[in-house]
Amino acid sequence: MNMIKLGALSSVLMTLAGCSTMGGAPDFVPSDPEAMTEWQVEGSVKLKNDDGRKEAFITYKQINGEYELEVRQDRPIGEPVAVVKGKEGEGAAAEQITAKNPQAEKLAKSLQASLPLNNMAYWLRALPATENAKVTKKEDELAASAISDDGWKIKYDNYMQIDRYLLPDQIEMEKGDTEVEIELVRADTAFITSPCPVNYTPGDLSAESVNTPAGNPVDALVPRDGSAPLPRWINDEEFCKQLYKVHGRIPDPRVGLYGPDSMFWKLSAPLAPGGMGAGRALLLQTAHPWVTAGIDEHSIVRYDPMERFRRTFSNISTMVYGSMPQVLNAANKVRASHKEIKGKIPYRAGAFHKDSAYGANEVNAMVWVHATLWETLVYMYEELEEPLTQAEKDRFYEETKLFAMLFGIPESALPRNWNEFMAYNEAMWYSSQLTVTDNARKLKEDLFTPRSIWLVFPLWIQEVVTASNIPAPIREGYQMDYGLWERFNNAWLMGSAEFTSWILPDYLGVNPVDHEAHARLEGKRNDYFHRKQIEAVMGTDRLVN
Amino acid sequence: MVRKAVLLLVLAGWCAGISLVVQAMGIPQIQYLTQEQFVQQTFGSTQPQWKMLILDAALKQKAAEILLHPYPGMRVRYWIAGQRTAWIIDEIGKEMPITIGVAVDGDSIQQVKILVYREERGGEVHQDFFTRQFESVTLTGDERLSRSIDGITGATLSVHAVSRVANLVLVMHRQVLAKAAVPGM
Repeated sequence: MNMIKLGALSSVLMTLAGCSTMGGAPDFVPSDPEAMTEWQVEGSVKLKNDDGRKEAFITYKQINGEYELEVRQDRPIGEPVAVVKGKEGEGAAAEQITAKNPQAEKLAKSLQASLPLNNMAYWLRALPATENAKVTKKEDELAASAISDDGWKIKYDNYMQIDRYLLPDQIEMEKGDTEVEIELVRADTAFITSPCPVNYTPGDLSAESVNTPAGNPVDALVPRDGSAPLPRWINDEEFCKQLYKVHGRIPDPRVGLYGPDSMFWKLSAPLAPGGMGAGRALLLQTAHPWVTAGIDEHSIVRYDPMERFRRTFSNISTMVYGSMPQVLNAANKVRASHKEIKGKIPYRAGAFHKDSAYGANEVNAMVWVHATLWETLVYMYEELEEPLTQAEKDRFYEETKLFAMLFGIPESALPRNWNEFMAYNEAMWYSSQLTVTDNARKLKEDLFTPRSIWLVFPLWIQEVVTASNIPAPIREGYQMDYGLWERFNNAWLMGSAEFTSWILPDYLGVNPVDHEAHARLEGKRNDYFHRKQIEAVMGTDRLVN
Repeated sequence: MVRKAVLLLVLAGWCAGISLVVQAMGIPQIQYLTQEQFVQQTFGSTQPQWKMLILDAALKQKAAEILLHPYPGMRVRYWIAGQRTAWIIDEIGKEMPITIGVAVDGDSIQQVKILVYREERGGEVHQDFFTRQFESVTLTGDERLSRSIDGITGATLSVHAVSRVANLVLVMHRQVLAKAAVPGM
């Protein structure tokens, strides 16, 4: 028994040692938080002064120079009991308080009297509020460790990486007899009021999208005569219009696009289906000559697949699990990175002629990339977890339409239901639109060639499982081996994945981003282990908190 | 107990292995200069106190015309000594912000430096052959750069971002000096 205990203790120590080696993104250098025009932070405040001690949960929001302090008494989320509103530069006298009851009003007034809310707009971002401020920053630190400003001494004990910013999460403030402790749990750094950058205009939201096909959407995506589909480019206005439509459908921005009752969260929670299906989805995508051309000419995938994986999956995970501001931030980032991915196909490839134009922001290509993700997720979920009913697939497919709209794809351009969606997938597998070119085969070789001893086994698993589960015409296109040996290996690998998924407690077997999203819904911070898990893979310990 | 021990052991290996791979393979966000180093390069050993330029409606509009998007923020911090100012501004090239330092002396640019480059491609903009093009550039009558800046193949968006920021800084510098020249402002 002692040996077992010793073994367990050793394992715990090794786990801690292993996880302690996990660092953040390489050389992360934060952007200047001064550039945040709409943002909010959430947490708790403890106030001690002559009037005694007071505690409250707070949300501090600043939008284009106007600020708002929401006060909650007993729980970190839900309707605030009081709100203090003000405008930068107008001072406390111009601030307005609305409260639900006299007790809440008293608490809000006490906070307002003790905290210079105007200056808090800067101090909560670790920025000086006035020109006379003295900022202390140690040489090896990326942000201020202390600020003396307007008579206050502010100490920053810890920071959280939120998107590209570093914001303080433990703040101690002192002025005379007043002492304030602020602990912040999470933040949104953009897209709180508008789903698009302010210079975008959505146009007439009720008007039909210019990318709506004339007839059946599947016929437009996969023309029956085998020709390439007519390109339908997604311009800024069309992209913004779809974001506005998504924005209008979401009742609670904290929950985000889906939430815990959604099929999306159910299918994305177990790690095995997404993990085992990654290679399948990727090779289905790169079988499209536009995708390979885009990668060849514009992407770092070939020489740094891990960084591309990290950026892609942090955006996808954020869209699935993030709050609405986080979701919209990710959508806009992807749009920006896709904008420059355009060019001409340098060779004839199946239905696509030499020198025909390609681009990332195009409906047909984007629908295909989406289809590979969600068809693969359902396929692998059913293989490794449990079969889904038709109703569940229909529900999941309806949810994927919102995801597609985040890329500017109008609902009218998508297959109408799950069955039509599967018919589209099968039509694509056998169409000349999917043509595995020499470049795609080379890309496959690059992707499955391990660049570290740690990746030898995972990439071998991916290759075997991908060859065994990808549709036959695509497998043949990539010239992947699929004999008795591969079938045998696939059987035990899939069986092991299924068994591991079953045996692992949710704490270990469920996607850490799923844990993080649940923590956000409760107004809490993700726990240490899951933060470190996210950091190990994504390079930041917070994605959707 | 045994099952937990095995699980934890596997987890330890996974944590350490994946972490090593991720750290070894990620693209670093390259910091060429810190804020302090840039200010010191501009002003020498006597670093001036920073100031704030509050963006009024007219300046916001001008900034939006130059940047092709609204300036994200209500104020801009800068350092000033005599006729010389230093500015550090983040501007997105393609996907990530580039931290750009611009120093202006009198009415012309003294130096442009890339402090942090975060994009996947286009990092050549930090090199001297590119940034030297901005030296001695002034504003034209219609408040544009007095010299056209040669691009770099594969770094078009980064080149544009740096040029826009240099243009904006010259406009803000002019405003700061004009305000300083008016007694009481």
